[in-house]
Amino acid sequence: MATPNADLPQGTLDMLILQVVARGPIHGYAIAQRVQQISRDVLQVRQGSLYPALHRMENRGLLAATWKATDTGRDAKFYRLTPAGRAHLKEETANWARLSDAIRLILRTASEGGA
Amino acid sequence: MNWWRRLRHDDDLEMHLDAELRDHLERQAVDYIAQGMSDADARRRARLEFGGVDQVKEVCRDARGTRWAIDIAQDVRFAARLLMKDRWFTLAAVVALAVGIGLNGTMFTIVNAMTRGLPIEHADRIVSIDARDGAGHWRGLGGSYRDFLDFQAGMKTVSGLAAFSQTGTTLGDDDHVNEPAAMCYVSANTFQLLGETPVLGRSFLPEDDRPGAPAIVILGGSIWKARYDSDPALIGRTIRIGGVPAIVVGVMPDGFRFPVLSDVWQPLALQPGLDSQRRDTRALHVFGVLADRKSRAQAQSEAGGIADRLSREYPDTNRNVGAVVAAFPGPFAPDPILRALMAAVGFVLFVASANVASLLLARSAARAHEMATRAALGATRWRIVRQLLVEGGLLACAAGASGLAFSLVGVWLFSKAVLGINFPYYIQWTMDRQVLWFVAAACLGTGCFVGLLPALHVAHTATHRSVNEGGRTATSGVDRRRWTTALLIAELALTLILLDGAGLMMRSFLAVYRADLVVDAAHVTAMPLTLPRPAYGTPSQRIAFYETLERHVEAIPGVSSAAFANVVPFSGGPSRHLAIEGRAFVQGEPQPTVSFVTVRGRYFETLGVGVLHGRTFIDADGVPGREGAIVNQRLVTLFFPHAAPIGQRIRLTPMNGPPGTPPDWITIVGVSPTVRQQYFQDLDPVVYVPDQADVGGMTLIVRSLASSPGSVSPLVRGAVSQLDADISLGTIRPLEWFMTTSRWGHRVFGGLLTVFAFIALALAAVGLYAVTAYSVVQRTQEIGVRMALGAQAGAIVWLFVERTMRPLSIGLGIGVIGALGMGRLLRGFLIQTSATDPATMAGIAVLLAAVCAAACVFPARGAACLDPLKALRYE
Repeated sequence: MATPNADLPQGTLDMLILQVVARGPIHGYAIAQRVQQISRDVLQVRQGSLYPALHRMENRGLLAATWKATDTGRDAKFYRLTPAGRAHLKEETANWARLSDAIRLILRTASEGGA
Repeated sequence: MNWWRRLRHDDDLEMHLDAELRDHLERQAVDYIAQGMSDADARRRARLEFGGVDQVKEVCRDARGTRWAIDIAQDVRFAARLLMKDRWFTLAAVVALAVGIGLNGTMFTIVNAMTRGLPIEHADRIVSIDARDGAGHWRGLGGSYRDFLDFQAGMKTVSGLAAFSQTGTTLGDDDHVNEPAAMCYVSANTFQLLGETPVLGRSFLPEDDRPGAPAIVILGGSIWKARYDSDPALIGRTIRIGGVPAIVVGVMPDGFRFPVLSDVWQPLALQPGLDSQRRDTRALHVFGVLADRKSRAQAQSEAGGIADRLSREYPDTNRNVGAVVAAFPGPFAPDPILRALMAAVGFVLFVASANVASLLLARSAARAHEMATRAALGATRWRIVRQLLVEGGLLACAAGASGLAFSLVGVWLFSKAVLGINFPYYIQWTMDRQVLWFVAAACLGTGCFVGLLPALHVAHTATHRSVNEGGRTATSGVDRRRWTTALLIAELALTLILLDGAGLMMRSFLAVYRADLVVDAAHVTAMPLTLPRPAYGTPSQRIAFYETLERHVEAIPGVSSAAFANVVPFSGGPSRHLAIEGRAFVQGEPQPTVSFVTVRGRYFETLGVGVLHGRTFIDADGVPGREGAIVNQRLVTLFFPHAAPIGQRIRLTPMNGPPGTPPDWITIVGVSPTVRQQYFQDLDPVVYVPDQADVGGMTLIVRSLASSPGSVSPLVRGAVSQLDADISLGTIRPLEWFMTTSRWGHRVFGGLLTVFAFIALALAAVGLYAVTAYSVVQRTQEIGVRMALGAQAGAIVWLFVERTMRPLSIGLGIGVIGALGMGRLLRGFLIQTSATDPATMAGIAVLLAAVCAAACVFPARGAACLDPLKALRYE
């Protein structure tokens, strides 16, 4: 059972961020909102860890950033996916799917065996 | 954005980071306001939810990966400011370290030049193959032509085996006057193995190196330029080499003078009589290039196998003759000397570094307060240690840059000092990449050493106790004093070792110098002479020529006497094993070795030494049945200390002699004063015998009258070419040249060692001075108290001198032991001086103690002159 505000497993924050950014250029605040939204408030992304993750991925070349004016008239830093970031996301997603399949399988057989 | 740009645009990044986070908070606040919160509440809520903005910024900065570089840059800036502030301290430290590093750079350049071998690729794959006798006493014996052919056919571990032999010759042609030249017979593959090709014409081919092949010659670039005006049409023309016509087929590049300083090369097959040489005429030098993936050890075992087979097949000539595979060419200067000199410069650098380290240590104690404050403000221990390491590193870098400049000057000075010495063509005093690596390593080591000690000290103390201690300077760590004392002891010990080594070498130099005074070399000239084989093939032909020439030369006005010798005094020469009639040869002990000189004419008179006992040679000496020898005083001292030498009989056997009938006994007819034959070793016993057949060429030695105006050399030259135009004298040199040149080892190496020792002494003295002066400043208050209580000036001075006594005596003790090691290393090069010479040691200990006393008493006297009232108030 997932409790609200569950901590993110190691490495998944990056994947989530990449997934969100993949849908189009977006600024940090919006990323935080979107992650929360799509995970139906189950996962709470602490802003304290969001920005270091963004900067780390920017420095690794997975994300690129530009300052652009927003609808509110203020400038914001917009992140978008680089080709390297896209490839990384694809790879991570595949890994994640494999891992969760495997875990699901283990849990199922374990519970069947126990029954 | 890559790492470099992130590093360069750190300020921009910082601004953007701030703007981005601010933007986030704004947006969050706007959202909350939209939800109905008040402006202030919305902002507070947003801030609370976000967490610590500064912590987030810190983590984002870490994510840039440039953090450490920025920190270090900060450390460097801080250290540079600090060093600039203490300008005089910095200057002194940099100069001391630069001298140390500079000497190391210079010495390494010299050693590197002497040991790096030929200037070709894979120089380290070239090996020589020499013969040695069974006892292994003698290396560098060379190979015989027949042995060479067998080795060439049998060796699989080398990709080619070449042989050469050097000689002097005369270059002649129809358009120029005859000219002497250094010549080398080489096997046809020599240049190919060395990877050298002619700049003009062709190299030697295998068919050139067969008996009966037409005579050809390859000339050196400098002769081609100077004598033939760089004329390309020279190829194909016929010139005369030692009177024999030969066709010029090629010109080698300028600067290529293999094997040492040759200018003319001919195929080995043209060497007269080579084909008929016996297996024990070991006059060739043999070298090869190791085949791919073969080691020198493999080549050694293969060569040893072939030598074993040859000694079974040809017992008459090859019994007990083995093979030695060694690096080719061997090191130019003896290994122990080079090692002693490298150790010496290492010591100097250590003394310099130790000085700077103790100064930094003293300063780090004065900075304890600063360190404590930094630690209290949250600097980690590593950060503080790193700061000090950076300071040390910065000093070392500055010293390294100036040290490199010093080395350039040092190398230049050295090359000037040895200008007259004939180094082989491949020794060039240039710096290469290895030198730069070495200097860089020396810098790194120095930086770590001078920075690490204070850093360790601070790491140990700063964090826990100096916040309390920091205020007062009176009681700074016992640890620090222990370190300073240890460094001082090491400095003094190393200085003593250096001074002792220098003292031994200088005493040896003086001993040689004194010994050489017996020769009246002022008006003596040596003129090498090689008789061409075809015209002078038999001993009687050669002897007839020498006798005629001697008569003609002595008839020249201004010539006082003339003589011949196979080797000039002071210039080396062959050695023989000595046996004395009636004395059993002690098994297991190395057989005594003596130098062996054949002379003709009034040799001892010409050198101006005469004989001490007995008589000089007369014409009847040397004919079979009347063998007589003159020995030098050194031989008498060594082998006849209690018996009269005249009339005793001795026997000389060649070092590589085949077992068989031993040579005849020779009667000693006279004793001459000691004239050195060998150089860079102790005075050698010499046996002189009358020349009977001359095999290797003779040197004409001429004494002219002191009153004769100008040089007689042109007249002698004229007399020679009048007798035979195809013979010319080699380089004519005054005997003094040989005398001084033979002393160059002691002069140059001993001189270097002395310079190094005195630099170390000066550095150690300055170090001691600084340490004492510093402790005077530190104990000013205490001195004030003592003086107020009635202490006399002498007692105050003693206070500081006493503290130096212990390190000095321990340092001297360790130094004496080390000096014995230095003596051992130099033993082979000491002349009339014991390696443990007590007089040298005592003199040096006294010198060191006196310098230390001065370095210590001067600042201490300053303390004694303090005004007690001022001293008490000093803070």
